Amino acid sequence: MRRQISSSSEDRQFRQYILALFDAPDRQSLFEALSRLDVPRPYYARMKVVFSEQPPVDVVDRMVGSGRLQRLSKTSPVFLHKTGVGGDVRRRVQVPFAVLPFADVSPDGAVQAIVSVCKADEWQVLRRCIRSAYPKLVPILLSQAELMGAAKRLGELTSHSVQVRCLSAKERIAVPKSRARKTVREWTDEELDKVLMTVQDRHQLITSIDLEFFPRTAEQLHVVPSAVCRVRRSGEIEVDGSFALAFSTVANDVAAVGQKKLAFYAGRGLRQADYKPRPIAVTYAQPVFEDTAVVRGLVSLLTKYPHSMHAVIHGNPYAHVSVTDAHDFSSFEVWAIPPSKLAILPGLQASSAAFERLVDFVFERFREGALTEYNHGS
Amino acid sequence: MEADITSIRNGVEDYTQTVQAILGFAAFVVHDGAAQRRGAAFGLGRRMTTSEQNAIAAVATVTPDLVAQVSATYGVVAEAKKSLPADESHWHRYVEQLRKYDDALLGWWTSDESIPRADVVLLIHHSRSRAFKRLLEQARASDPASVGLNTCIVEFIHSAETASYYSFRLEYGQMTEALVGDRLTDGVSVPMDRVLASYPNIKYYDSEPPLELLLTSLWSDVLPSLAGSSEYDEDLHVHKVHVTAAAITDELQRAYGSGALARDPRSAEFPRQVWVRRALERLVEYGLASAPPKGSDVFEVHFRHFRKDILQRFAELALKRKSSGKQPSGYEETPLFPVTT
Repeated sequence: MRRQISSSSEDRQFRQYILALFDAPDRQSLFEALSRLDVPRPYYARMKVVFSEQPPVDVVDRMVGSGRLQRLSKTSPVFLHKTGVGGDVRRRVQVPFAVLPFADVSPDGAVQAIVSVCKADEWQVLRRCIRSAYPKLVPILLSQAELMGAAKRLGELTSHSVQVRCLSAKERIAVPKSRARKTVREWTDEELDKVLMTVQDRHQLITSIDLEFFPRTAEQLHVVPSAVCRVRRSGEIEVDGSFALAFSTVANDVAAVGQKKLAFYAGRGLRQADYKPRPIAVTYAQPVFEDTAVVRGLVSLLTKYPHSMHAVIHGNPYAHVSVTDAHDFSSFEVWAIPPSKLAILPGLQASSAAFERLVDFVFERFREGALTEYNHGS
Repeated sequence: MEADITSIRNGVEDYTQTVQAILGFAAFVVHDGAAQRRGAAFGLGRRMTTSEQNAIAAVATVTPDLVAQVSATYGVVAEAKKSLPADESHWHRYVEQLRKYDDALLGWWTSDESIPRADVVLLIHHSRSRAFKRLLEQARASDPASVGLNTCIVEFIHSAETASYYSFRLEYGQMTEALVGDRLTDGVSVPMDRVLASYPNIKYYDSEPPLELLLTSLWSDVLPSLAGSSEYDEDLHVHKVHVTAAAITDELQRAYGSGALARDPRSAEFPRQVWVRRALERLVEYGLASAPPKGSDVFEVHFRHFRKDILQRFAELALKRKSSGKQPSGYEETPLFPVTT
């Protein structure tokens, strides 16, 4: 059972301890210190897996000049985010964090993790800071299939038994023509496959899952998990228990998924691809565009894509919509041609970040499908 | 106002669907269903040369919308009309155009650029095909030489029942190659998905697009791709993007036009610089760009975010311009496609 911080003086003391711990001489000793750390509630070890064209640590380093960030050590990638929060009564918040690489899955350093030990509200503050660096710093956004795939893979790859303890999902409210969704949180001790079946039957969109890692010896399971990790679609991981286990398994897997996805999206802008088109397809197992109301719904949805410009070239019976990302000016043409395929054609400029954001929007707000190359075989 | 906007949108839709229909027909002619036929090739707006015996223009350069070669011995020359004048008396110029193409044209992908047999096809939407067929029959009845022996009408229609496809059917004449003609007599369906997968980035052909389509392409794709490296004016809240018609044309051709297809000295170049220049000049009229200073051809576009649908925005600006007394952009013609939205 984790300890709970019981007084403000204890809280101050732990905060000072964390600051000292992050002031490690190098990455390895920081990692080892985090792995040994017993984190009392309401603190958690938290991670966000991000990517960038340059290593994310370099992007964060450049943010130091803005005054919001301070580099804590010259020899290790640790920083302090300082800001004020609250309305009339301002409160100073200081969140130490490190940027750690995944040497195996991302040797070029394009995918790294932002790691902190902090409370939920402090993490929100740090997330805002990370978000402000978009599109230079881009989150790894996991599809539902990737999220559940990670849970399955981890069960096979580690010496632990991995069980889904609970999941959070969005479920469409049964009101005609309404796109409103309710959030549901469900606890389960069922097998992963059964959980997945229920999710599909109820047309839920999983937003996070809590995984428990139980030590296993000669097929016998311990009753106390080594770690409990909450993994979010936004590539964030909250760890209760062994940091080393969570980093080397869950975060590593998220990074691997992200690295693979980025490689898939990379270099597709026409200018970068020497004007050879490299469109992608979102393929659905069932025909979805036979109903013109669905096509119209998709067109309407794309016109509401945040931070973008759009032009509807054709809206019915097929969809042809031009979408321009206002963050980095990437452009795409989206075609929905009956019955079961969505084609995304990159324009002159199309960054991996913009590709990922658009696909995630379609997956979350319309339907999730399988990503493939768009060609005769897809 | 709403009807005028719809009319402009229809013009844009006509154009994009015509591009798709031409590509779909080309694919039908040059592919055998599994792969491109041996010796087959096609070009849009290819520069062909008429013979000395041509009844309309001897030894002249013509640029049919589509030249598709099935083999070294047979090919198809096609003209697609994205719109036809409401007044049918003006349709005679199209009869003359077909007559000009129904000739021993030079410019095929053979060693001496000639081909033993070729058919001339008017690719036309089914809603106009019967009327045009009637006209062709009347023309032939009054002057048998006014319609060539190899002239045909192939109607097409876009359909989206269970899948989206273009359907082509021979409506007039007889194709000299059974391989193509027999199937067209029964009707051929080309899935739109296959067309898009084969030629995902072809947006133009050798015919000027509606200005609003070109402006939309500039504002949604070309200018944003240049905005990131341009100066941002904090006072005007615009990116000052410096462009020339020549540079934009070159990129549009490579990305979405003639440069994205196989090329040789007879290939046409589209979109043309003059179209792009017209679009940039229109941006100047709309107050979205500054004209090049004297002695320069560099436009300064004041690029900014449009909250409204970009095509809708340019359609509204076109109507505003029209109501202020300036010339409309040519939408008085009857749209080829019926409104489907």
